[in-house]
Amino acid sequence: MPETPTPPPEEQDPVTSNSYSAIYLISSILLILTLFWALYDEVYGLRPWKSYQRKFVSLYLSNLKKLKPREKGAEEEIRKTEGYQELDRAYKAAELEATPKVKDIDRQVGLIDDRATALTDTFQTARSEVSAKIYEIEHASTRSRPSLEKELEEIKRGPFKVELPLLDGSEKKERVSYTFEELEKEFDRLKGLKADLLATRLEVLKQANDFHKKRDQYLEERMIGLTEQQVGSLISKMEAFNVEIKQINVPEYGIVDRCESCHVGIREPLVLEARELGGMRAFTSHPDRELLKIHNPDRFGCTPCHNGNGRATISAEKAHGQNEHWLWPMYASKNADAGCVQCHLNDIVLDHADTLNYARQMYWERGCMGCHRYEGYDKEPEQLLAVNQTLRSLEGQKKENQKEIAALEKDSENAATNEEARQLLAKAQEIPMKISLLDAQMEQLDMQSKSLLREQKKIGPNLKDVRLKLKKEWIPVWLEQPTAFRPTTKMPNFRLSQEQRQAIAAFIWQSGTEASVSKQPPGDAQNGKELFEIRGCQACHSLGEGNERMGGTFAANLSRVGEKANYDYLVRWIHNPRERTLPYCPFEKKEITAADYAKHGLPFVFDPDHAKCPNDGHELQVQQTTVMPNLRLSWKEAQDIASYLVTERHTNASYPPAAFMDDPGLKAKGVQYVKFYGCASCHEIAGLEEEGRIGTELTKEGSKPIDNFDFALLARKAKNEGWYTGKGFIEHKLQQPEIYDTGMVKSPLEKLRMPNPHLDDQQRSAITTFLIGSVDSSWPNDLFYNPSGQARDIQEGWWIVRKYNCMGCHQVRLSQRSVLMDLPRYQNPDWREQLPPRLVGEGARVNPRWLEQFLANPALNTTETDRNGVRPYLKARMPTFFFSPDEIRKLVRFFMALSTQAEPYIPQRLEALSSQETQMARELFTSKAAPCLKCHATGETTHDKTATAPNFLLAKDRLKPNWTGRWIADPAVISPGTSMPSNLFKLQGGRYVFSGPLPDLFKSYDKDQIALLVRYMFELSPEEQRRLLSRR
Amino acid sequence: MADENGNNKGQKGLTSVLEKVKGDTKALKEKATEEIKIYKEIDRTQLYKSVFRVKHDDTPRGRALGILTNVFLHLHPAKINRDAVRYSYTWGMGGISFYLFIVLTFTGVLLMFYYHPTKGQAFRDILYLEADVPFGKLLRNMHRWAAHLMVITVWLHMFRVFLTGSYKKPREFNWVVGVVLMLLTLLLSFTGYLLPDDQLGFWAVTVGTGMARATPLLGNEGPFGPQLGMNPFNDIRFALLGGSIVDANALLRSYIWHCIGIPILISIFMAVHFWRVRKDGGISGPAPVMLESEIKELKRGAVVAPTKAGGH
Amino acid sequence: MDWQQLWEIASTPDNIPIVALLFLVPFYTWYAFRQARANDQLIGALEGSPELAKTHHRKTLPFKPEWPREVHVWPYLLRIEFLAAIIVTVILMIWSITLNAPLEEPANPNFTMNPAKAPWYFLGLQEMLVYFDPWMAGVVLPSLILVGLAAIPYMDENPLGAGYYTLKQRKWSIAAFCFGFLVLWLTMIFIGTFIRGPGWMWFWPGQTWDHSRVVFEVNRDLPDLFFITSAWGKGILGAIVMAVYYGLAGLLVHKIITLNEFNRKIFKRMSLLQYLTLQFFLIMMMLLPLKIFIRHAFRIKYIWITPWFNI
Repeated sequence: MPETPTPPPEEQDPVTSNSYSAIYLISSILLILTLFWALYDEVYGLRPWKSYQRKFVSLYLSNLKKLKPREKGAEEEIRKTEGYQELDRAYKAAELEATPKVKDIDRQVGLIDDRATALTDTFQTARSEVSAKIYEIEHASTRSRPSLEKELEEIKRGPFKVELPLLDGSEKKERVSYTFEELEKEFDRLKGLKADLLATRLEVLKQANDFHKKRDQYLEERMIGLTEQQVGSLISKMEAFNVEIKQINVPEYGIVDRCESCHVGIREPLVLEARELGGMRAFTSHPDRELLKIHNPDRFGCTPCHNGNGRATISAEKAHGQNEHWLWPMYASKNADAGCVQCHLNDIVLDHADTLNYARQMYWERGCMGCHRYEGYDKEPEQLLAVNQTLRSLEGQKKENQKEIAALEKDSENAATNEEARQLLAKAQEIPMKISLLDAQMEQLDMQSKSLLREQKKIGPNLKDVRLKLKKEWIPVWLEQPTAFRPTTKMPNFRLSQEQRQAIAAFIWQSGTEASVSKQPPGDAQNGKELFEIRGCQACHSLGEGNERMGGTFAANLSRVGEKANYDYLVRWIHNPRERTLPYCPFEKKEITAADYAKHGLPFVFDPDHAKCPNDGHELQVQQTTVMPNLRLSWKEAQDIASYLVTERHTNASYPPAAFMDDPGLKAKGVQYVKFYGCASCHEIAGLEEEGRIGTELTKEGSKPIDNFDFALLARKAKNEGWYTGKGFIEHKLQQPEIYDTGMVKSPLEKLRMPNPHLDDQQRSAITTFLIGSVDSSWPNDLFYNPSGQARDIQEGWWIVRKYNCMGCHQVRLSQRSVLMDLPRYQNPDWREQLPPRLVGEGARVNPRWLEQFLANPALNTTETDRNGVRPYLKARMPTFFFSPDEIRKLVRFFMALSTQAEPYIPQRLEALSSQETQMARELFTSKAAPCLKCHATGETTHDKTATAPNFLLAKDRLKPNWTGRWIADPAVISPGTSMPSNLFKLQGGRYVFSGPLPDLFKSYDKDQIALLVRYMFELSPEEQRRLLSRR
Repeated sequence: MADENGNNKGQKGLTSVLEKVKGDTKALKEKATEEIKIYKEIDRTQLYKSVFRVKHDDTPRGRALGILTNVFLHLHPAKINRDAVRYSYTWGMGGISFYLFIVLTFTGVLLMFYYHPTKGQAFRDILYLEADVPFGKLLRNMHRWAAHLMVITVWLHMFRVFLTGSYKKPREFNWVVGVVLMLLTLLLSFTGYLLPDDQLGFWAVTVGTGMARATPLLGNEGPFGPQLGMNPFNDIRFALLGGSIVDANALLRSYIWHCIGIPILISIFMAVHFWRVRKDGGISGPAPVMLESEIKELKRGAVVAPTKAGGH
Repeated sequence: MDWQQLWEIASTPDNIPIVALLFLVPFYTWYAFRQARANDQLIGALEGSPELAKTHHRKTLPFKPEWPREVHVWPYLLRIEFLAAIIVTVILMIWSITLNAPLEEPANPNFTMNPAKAPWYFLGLQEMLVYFDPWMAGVVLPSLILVGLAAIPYMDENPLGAGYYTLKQRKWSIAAFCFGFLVLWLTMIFIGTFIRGPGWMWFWPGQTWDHSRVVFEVNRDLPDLFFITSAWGKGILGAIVMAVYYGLAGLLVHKIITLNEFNRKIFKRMSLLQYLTLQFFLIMMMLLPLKIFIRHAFRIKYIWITPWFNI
C-alpha cells in the first residue's frame, strides 16, 4: 500500500496531519505544575510547624535580647550586695595568692613539654622498630631465632642520638646518645614530672576555685529571673535551633506527641505570654510548671492529659483532634482539668485542679449522685441492700434448719427401730452447729450494716417528718419552683404540672409519720442570734437573702425558714439533728413503732447505743440520715436559736389552703410521680427507702460515642452551631434539661425528667469538665494514680473531710481558708482567738489513739456533754458527728499521713522526774515571767472563765512529747498568730534555757529545760495542778 | 594509553620526555575530537545499538520496528485501522484502565512498605502514613482515588464495547474475559476497603460479607443452608473472613487477596485480554457499516441445533 | 430544603466517583448516540441506493480513497495513549492533593455505623436487599448479572452493528443493555448513595438524615391479600404466581423478539438454546423492576413464601 502519500493541501487527512503539539504542551505544563504543587504541599503545605518554629525563634530571640540587659541589671544589683562582694574578694585574694605558684608551674610544664616533643619522634620510631622485631622473633622458627635476637640486641643498643633542651629554662640544648632502655626511661621520667606538676597546680588553685563556685552559687540563689549567662545560653540555643519535628516518644505506652513542634516554648524556663510573642498563643509556656514537674512530659507526653492527635502535624485542626471522626478531641482550656479525671479517679480533692475539685464537690452537694451513679460516690445504699438481702437469705436458712430439727426429732420419736431413731437424733444434733455458724455470719453482716447505716446520708431532708416539721400549705408552693422561695437551694426545679404537684404533695403529706413533737417553751431570740453566730452554725448554714447572704454554702440557707418550719420540731432538730421520730428497720423494710417494742416488752428507746430491732435483732437506722452533726446544745440554747430562726420570714408571705393534700385518691397517683421523678434518691420517703437510681450512670460518660447522645431533633441545629459534641450535649442539658424534648410529641411520663439544677456558668462548665473527663481510659493502669500507704490514706481521708465539711471550721491545708475565718465577726482580733484550731500539722501534734476517742466523743465526757472537750473556752462548738468506726480510722490515718507520721504510733517513753526536777518544773510553771496556768484551762470553772488554752491534764494522752517541746520552743512557727507567747526559752549551747529570771535551783542544772517542762507536763496529775493553782 | 607511552620513554633525559609528552597529548586531543564526533550521532554508538538493536529513523520501516522491537509497545501491531485511532470511537477507556492498574500497582507496592496487616497496628500505620511518611498522604490518596477511577473507566469501557457491538464474532470470548476482569477489579477495590481497619471499611465489609451468609446451600442463613448443616462457623462467610466476625484474620485475608491473590489473577486475565485483542484482529472497527440486505445465511454446522430448531 | 445535608452527602470523598458518574455517563451516552445517529443516516442512505452502497467506503468518518486505510501505531496511536496517560495523571494528582481519602474512627464492633453502607459500587446490590432477601440480592442476582453479561455475545445472533455505533440495527439489544446498565445498575447505586439514609430509610435529596426518624411501613406478603395462612397454601400460591409471571413475561419477550420483520429474521437464526437463555435472563432482569414496583405500589414484601426461601 502507499506509504503516507502527500494528499492535496485542501484534503488533509485529519488522522495523520492533525498536530497534537499544542495540547501536549498544555498538558505537560499542567503535569509539571501539579508535580510542583505536590512537592510544595509536601514540604510546606503539610508541614505548617516549620513556619511556626521559624517564627518562634525570631520572636523569642528578640525577646531574649531585650531581656538580657534587664537581667544584667538585676544581676549587677546582687553583685553589689555585701555577701557577694565578700565571696568575690575571698576568691580574688585566693587567686592572687595562687598566681605566682601557678605561673612557675606552667613555665616548668612548658619546658618539660619541649623536651618531650624533642624526644618523642626518635623514641616512637625506635619503639616501633623494636616491637616489629620482637613480633618477628615470636613467629620465627627456633632455628632462626638466635640470629634474630641478636639483631634485636643490635637495635636496642642504638645508639639513638637526640638533641634535647635543658629543663633549667636556659635556651641551651644537650646532645645525648641513648640506648633504647635509656630512651624509654627518659620519656617516662618526663611524663612523671609533668603529672606531678599538674597535680600540685590543682592543689594550689583549689581554694580559689571553691570560692568561685560559692560566689556563683550565691548569685544563682538570689537571682529571681535568669542570670545573664543563662539568658546567654538560651540565646545561643535559639541561634543553634534547627527546624525539625520535636517529638516526645514513650514506646511502652505508645505515646508519640509532636505537640512541641508548634508549641515550641511550652517547656522554656521563662514564663512566655502570647502578648510578648506577637500574640501567638501557640508559643506560650505551660501555665502550670509545678504540674509539669509532677507529670514529666518525657514520661507522660501531652495527649494523655490534653487529648488531641499527638502524631498529626499537618494542621492545627488535625493535631488538636478537632477533625471529624477523631475520638479524642483536645479539651478546651477551660475544661483542661478533665484530663485529670481518668487517672485521679479516687481524689475528691486534687492539687492543681480547682475546677475539678469544685465540680466533684458539687456533684455530691447538689445530689447529682442521687440519680446518676458515679463510681466512688454514695456507695452505702447498694452495699446496705446487698447486706440485707444476704441477711434475709441466711435467716431463711436458719428457719429451715430449725424446722428440720423439729422434724427429725419428731421422726425419731415414732421411728421403727432404736437404731434409726439414734441416727435421726444424731442428725438433729448436728444442725445447731450449722445454725451457730449462720449466726456468726449474720453477726458480721450486722456489724457491717451498723456502720453502713451510720455512713449512709441523704442530701435532702427526711420526708417522713413532714407532718411534724412543715407547714402543710407551704409544700405545693415549694414544689412549684423551689428557687422562687429560696434562690440558693440545692433542690432543683422540676417541671411539674399543677396536677402532678398536688398529687406529689398529697402523697408526701399522707405518707408522713403520724407523731407529735413535745411542745417547747419559746426562747430568747436575741440570745439565739448570738448563739447562731458564735457556735459555728454559719460554717455550713447561711442566713440572709441576695447580697445579705452570709455563711457557708455547704448546707441550706435558713432565711424564710420561719415560714415553713414548726417551732417545736426546729428545737428538737437543733438540740439533736440526728434524733429520729421512729427507727427504721432495713431488714423488715418498715418503721418500728413503740408498739413493736412493747410487743417484746422492751423500752421504747433507740439511739446509736440501742440500735437492735426488737422484732429480729438486726441493726436499725436510729438516726436521721443527715450529715448535720449534734452540737450538744442545751435545750435552752436550742430554744433560743429556734426562736431566732422562726423570725426569719417574709412577714407578708401567705399560702393558699391545700385541702387536696388529705385526698387519699391523690396519694395513689402521687406515688407514681414520686417514683418517676426519683424524689427518693435525695429524700427519705416512707415505702421508697430502697428505690434505685433513675438516671444514667456517668462514670464513663466522657467516652460515649457521639451518636449515643440523643440530640433528638436538635442534631442538625447542634451541627450548624458547632456543639454537636459530648461537651455541647452536656452543657446544654445542664442549662436546660428538657431541651432535647423540643419539638417532640411525648406523653407526660415520657418526657425527660431531669430537673433543672439552676447552675451558673462557672458551675456548669465545671460539671461539664468533670463529666467529659470521666472516660474509659485507653492508657495503661500504671499511669493511673493508685497510691498505697499514706498517700492512699490522704485520698480516702479527703472523702470524709468533704462529706462532713470539716473545712467549714478548720484549716486542713495551708492554702485553704475556713468559712468562719472570713466571717465579719472573726475579723476582730479578740475574736480571731475564738477561731477553731488550725489542723495543719495535727497529725504531728496529737496521739492517734487519743484522736480516735476525741472524734468519737468531742466532749471527752459522757455525762456533761454541753462543752468542748479540749478547748472549753471556745464559743464555737466541736460537734459530735457519730462517725462510724471506719470513718474515724480513716480520719485519723488522714491526719497522720498529712504530716507524714510514722505508722504505727509508738508513744515516746519519758524518764520520770527526780524530786528536785519536779521542784524546778513547778518553779518554771508558775514563774511570773510565764504563768502557764494563767491562760491554760484547769477544769476549775471560776479559773476557766478566763482560760484561752487547753488543760494540761489532757497533754499526757493527747499530745506527742517531742511536738510539745517544739511547740513550747516556738509556737508562732507552728501556728502563726497563736496567743501562746514565743521565745519563752532561748538556745544556749545546744540546749533550751528559760529566758525569764531563773530561780537559784537551776544553777547546777545543765539539761534542756523545755524537755524538763514537757516531762513534768506529761506527769501532771489533777492534785498537782490544784497544788499549783493554790501556789499562784 | 598515551601516558603509558610517555612513561616508557620517560627514562631518557628531561627534554626528550617533554617533547614526547607534547606529541602524545596532541595525538590524544585529535583522538578525543574524533570520538566526540561519533557520540554526536547517538544511535551509532555500540551502547545504543545493543539496547535498541535497530535504527528507528522516520521511515515506515523504522516506525514499524519501533513498535515490534519494543516489548511493551509490542502489545500493539505495527499498523492499525486509521479510524481505530480516533478517540471519538474508542474513548480510550481500556487503555486508561490499564494505565490506572499500573499506577495502582506502583503506589500499592510503596504503601506495602509502611503497612502491617494486624489489628491496631493497621490503623496506626495509616495515621503514620498521613503524618510522617514523605508523600505518604499523596500516596494513599492516589491509591484510593485511582482505584475508584478504575472502576468507572472499566464500566465505561464495557459500555463502549457493547454499544459498538465489539463483542460480536470473533470477539465473544474476549468479552467474557472482560467481564471477569471487571469482577476482579471490583473485588480488588473491595478487599482494599477493609485494610485501613477503620469504621468505614469495617462496616462496609461487614455488610458486604453479611450477604455471603445467605448464599444458597453454602450460607448458614441461605436457602437450604441450614438443612445442609451450615452454621456461622463452617459456611462460606467463615471461609471468606477466616472467622465468624470481621477481625484480625479477615484483615489478613483481605490483605493477601488484595496484594497478591487478585493482582496475580487479574494480570493473567489482562494478558489474555490484550493477547486476544490482537489475535481477534486488533481493536474492533470502526468497521464499514453492514446492511440488512447483506446478512448472509447462517452456516451453523452440526455444532449446535439445526436452524429449524431456531423457529417453530 | 436542607442543602447542607445534600452537600454533606455529595462532598463525602467516597461519593465523589458517583458524582463524577452523574456527568460522565450522560456525556458518553450522548457521545455514542450522536455517532450512532450519523451511522444510521448513512445506513439509511445506502439502503436507499444500492449503487451507492457498492462504491461507498461505508464510514461516517471523513475518508478519501488516497488516504491510507491503515496508519502507523507510532506515532499516531501512541501519541494519543501518552496524552491520555498524562491527562489522567494530572487529574489523579490534583484529585489526590485536594481531596483526602477518608479515615474514620478505628474499627469498633460494638458501635454500629448508621447507615452502614457498602462501597459505592456495591450499593446497587445493597439497595436490592430492600426488595429481595439477601440470598437473592446478594448472591443469586449478582451471579446472574455476571453470567448474563458473559452470555451476551452467545445469545446475540444479530450480525449487524459489529464494530460501529448504531441504534437502527440493534434497537432491542441496546435498549436491553441500557435498561440494565443505566436504569437498573446505576440508578440503584445512585439511590443507595443519595437517597438511603439512616436505617436505610428513603430520604429525598435535601431531606435531613434524621437518625430518630420513624416511618410507618406495612410489610405484607402476597398471600395475606388472599388471607392464605397455611404454609402449603402460601407455597403453592407463590409457585402459581411465579409460573404465571414467567408465562406472561416470556410471552412479552417473545412478542418483542418477533416484533418486526428484522427481529423475526434474527429470531430464525437463533438456536433453541440461545432463545431460551435469552428468555431466561430477560425475564429475570424484569423481575427486579417489577418487584420494586409492587413493593412501592402495593407494599408487598414477598410473593412466594416457602419454609426454605422467600421471593
